[in-house]
Amino acid sequence: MIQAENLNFQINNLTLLNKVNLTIEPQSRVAILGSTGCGKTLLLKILAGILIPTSGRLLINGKDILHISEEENLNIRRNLGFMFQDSALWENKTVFQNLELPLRYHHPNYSIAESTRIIENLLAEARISHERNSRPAVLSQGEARMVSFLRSIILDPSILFLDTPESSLDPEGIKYIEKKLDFFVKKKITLIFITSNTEWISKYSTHLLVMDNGCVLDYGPTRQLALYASVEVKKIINKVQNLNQIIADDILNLLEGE
Amino acid sequence: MISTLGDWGLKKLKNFFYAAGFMLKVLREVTNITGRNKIGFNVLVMQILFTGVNALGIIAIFSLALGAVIIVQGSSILQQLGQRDFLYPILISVITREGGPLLTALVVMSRSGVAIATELGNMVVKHEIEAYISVGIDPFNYLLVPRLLGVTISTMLLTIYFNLMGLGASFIFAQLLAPIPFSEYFRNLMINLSLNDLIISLVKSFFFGVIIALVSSYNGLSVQNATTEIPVITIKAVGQGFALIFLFNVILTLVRF
Repeated sequence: MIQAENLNFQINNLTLLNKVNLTIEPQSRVAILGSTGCGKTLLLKILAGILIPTSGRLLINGKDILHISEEENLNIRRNLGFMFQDSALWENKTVFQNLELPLRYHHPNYSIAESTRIIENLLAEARISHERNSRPAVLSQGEARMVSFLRSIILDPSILFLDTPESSLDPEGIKYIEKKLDFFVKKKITLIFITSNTEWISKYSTHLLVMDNGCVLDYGPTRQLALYASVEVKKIINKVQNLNQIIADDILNLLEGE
Repeated sequence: MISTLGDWGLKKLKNFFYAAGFMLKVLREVTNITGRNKIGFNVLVMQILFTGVNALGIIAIFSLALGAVIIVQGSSILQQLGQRDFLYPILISVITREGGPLLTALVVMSRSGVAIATELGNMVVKHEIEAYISVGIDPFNYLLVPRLLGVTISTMLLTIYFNLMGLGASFIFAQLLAPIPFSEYFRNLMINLSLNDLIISLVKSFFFGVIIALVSSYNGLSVQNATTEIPVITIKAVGQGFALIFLFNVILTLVRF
């Protein structure tokens, strides 16, 4: 469970995130919506404990991650995965080493053969085995995004943060990520993601978090929010093309089924 | 006016305490270098290779040049004064106590200090530091401590190398001006060289290494979000590094005497 209490983030007296309060229950899948520059990525990074808020508290599984021991921090981190919007691969390492470092760090008991097998399987599944020994600088944007996705899931996380996972990927890559997301849904992991893919929002989200100008406008179950949200929130939801239609179709299907 | 000055002073004070806190954290993390699967060990080895081994050539040139200059200038001036025996204390003083540690530190700051500030600055801009945090790797432990240890160890070893090369070069150049047997040259050097000289040389190089690593790491990580900040921050790191090296050199020399 992730609990944000009064989170604020400021840079040079500019408030980028304002009084964020929310609780993300285990196994829920939260899609963060909002216009460009409203603070979605910033909130995602703060919820993942990557950036430190100027004020407020962040609890992951009941522990304040700003005030925990190194061992507790490692235990929490072992269960978190984060895919960056701009890949953020380590440029001085090969694709293989980018995946190997977190694995070796968190699973020192794995043999070299075992960790190599895990990494090579992932690379083969994602169809980028040929880039095994390449440096990030020579990868295409789509390949770099895929490596970033693989790095986020290599530790088999129970909470996964994805920042626009579909961007720059070809249809094959998107299909692979969908396959993995289907697997995570079955596995009931907590998923927090930013996306503009309306099908994914409809298919994967159990909750919507709507942001505007550094504030959380509304947060709640997807269907409830799509139907009963305030005009202001609906305006933002409507910016996500076809979302209402897809959710409406989804609800109709559901009602017909019932 | 007073308010602006006050704000400026407060900002500087805040920056100073922030920098002090940063440096204390890096130093505290040194004790963890052997922890967590020793993943920082490779970074340490690479840092020693880059800062130490790859700098052997440039350090050799500097030390040969300094040894040659002392012999050429010293021989001619001291001979006129009839004080040729003073050449050995001068060699020890200029090469071992002052020139060796100082010139080595300046070379290390210009090469490795610049490289560290640039590399870390680039890592900040490309969110690589955040990526380390996201997988639970402490950047202080993985990136900064190996650099601190690598630069400090390399600076100390390079200083010893500088001293040996400088004193060796002075013997070779002495042969060109007024040949003396190696045994005599070596004996005279040993008479004038004390353990204290070697210790002060190593102590200085130790502090210079720590200064170079901390100043360049701190400045590299202070880049915020644009690649255009990196050259500015690198120049700042070199300026601060040089100033602190000279300041500490004066302080340690004063302490020594």
